[in-house]
Amino acid sequence: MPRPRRSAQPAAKPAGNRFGLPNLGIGVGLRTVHYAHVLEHQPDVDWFEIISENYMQTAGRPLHILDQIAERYPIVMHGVALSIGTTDPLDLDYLRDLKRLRDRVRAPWLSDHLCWTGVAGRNSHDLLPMPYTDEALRHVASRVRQVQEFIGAPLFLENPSTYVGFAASTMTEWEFLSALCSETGCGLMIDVNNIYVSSRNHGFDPADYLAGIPWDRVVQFHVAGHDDNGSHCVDTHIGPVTDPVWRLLGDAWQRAGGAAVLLEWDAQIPAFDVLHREALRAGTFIADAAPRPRPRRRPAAVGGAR
Amino acid sequence: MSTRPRPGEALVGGLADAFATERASASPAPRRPARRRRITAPAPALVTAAPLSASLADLQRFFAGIVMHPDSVNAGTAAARCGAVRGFAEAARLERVLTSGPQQDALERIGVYHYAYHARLVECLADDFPTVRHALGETVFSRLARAFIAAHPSRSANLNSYGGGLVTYCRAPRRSIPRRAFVADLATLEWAMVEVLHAAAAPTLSTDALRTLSPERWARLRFRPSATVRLLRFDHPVNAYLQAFREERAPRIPRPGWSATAVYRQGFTIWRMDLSPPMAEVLAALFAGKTLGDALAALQRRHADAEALVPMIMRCFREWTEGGLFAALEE
Repeated sequence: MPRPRRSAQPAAKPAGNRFGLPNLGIGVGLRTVHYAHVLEHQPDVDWFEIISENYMQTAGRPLHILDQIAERYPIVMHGVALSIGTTDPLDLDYLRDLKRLRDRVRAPWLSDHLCWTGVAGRNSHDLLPMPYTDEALRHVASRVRQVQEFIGAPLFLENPSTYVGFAASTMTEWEFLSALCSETGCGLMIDVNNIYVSSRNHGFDPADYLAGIPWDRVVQFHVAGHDDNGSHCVDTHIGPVTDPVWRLLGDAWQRAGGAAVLLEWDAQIPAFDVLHREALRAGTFIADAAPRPRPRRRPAAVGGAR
Repeated sequence: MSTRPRPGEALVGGLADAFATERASASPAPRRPARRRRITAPAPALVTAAPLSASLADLQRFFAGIVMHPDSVNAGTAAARCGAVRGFAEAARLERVLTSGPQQDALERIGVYHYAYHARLVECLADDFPTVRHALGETVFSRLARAFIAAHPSRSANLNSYGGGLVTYCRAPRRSIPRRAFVADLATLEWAMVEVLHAAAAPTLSTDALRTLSPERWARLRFRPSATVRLLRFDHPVNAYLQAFREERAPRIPRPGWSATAVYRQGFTIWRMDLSPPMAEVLAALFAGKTLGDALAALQRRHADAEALVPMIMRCFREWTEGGLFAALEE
């Protein structure tokens, strides 16, 4: 059993999501460079998030280490290869592996991205943008339902950072996500850094995005650093989180009535203590953001708490 | 102190040897960030021409055709327009498919994905083959990786096995790779380490099992190899080169020369053991399913000093067994 861990954030009650899933506190992404530190020092971290695929198609050392860490900490799974939006068939072998890993580490939920990663059998291993059209909505909704049925639990989708849009789009990303939640009962993992990056790349107001999210579907937040190239921003997950992104987190966290927060840092990764200290800065930005009542929503048509 | 590995010497490993790093998470940072431009008021996404009517599948094939094109994003766009995707020949203006942004046109914007696609896969190969990259240098390695990516795009949801194809690619004759035979040997060694890292742990033969055997039973024994061992024979001393690279001794590419290495995992530490020719012969025979008696008989036929070699081989059994090279004994 994971031992209880001290949270650096104020308690948010009642549970901020309709799935009844817990607010795990402030976590960090588990990365190989920190394996030794985590195993040896058992740092006081609320929870870890793993990139699911790093522990799939392997039966060796990565899984062995993950097993040890999962003994002590809650582990949430975050995937990058579900490719929920592709027009290729769903990869059932992948889903089988994903489900097996979830059961192994007892992950309370698993998430992936609103995106596609390849087509015609070729995988880009990137999170490619969707056109936000009625056809795409019907297509993604159908696949989300299939995935949820397969895994026997709600799927949580993250808003991607995008660098280009489709001329054919007839709705905004937040309208698409909201409609997807209504049609499938799926949940959301909101990456506030992605909202910021996309707002800069597409010229929308992040406040409009936040206003359009069905907050009772949100179980988790991501924060991360990005590269600001002037002409556009890139979601690199390098470096500390910028203040505008922290402020977005404060606003979003309040709207959600509190939810788990996770820092992603994927390149030029600093020492664990530096990383964790940066993650705990979230506490500053959500400390004054007392949960506020949300408007009531109709129950989900499909899905629910596991 | 000599750092050159001797036959039978186990080398390096450990938790810090974390060469299997994260595969896909964020977009790689641009190597040369675009020139900073002052942003004034953000503008809405620009659509300056009527959107092209296309199905989701066609849009994705068009998009992927550009992003995965081996040359520039311009070449990818031209090829995608002329490609098999119905209707896109009409997309004389990319803006009929993709929107411009406040500070970038559609071509620059999809260029972010084109760059990230190639950078991510090159980085993945560099993670798996750091010594090959060192041997070839950054530019040549990058060219090799991009040629491989173009010829063999990933078809799996997982990148853990993607690098395996590079070994076969390097071994193909007439491939334009400097010092191709050496590079192929080195890539084989590095990929074996990745395979062993990801192989499932399984029970291994204990030294106790050997201790209780009567001498007359030894000749009839077959030693089944563990799933976490690879026995490799090379035309170049690549393990010595790899070791020198890891010790930051700036090794020079060696002349051809026979070598053999066992790569294996003990617990969760990866080890490399150089093997002398007799050791490699015996291990290869055992791994091929021959009895120990047959393996030693073959050794005696090939080596004039075989009588002296047999005791050495028998001593090696303890080290091989302790290293977990064998899964089980069979009679």
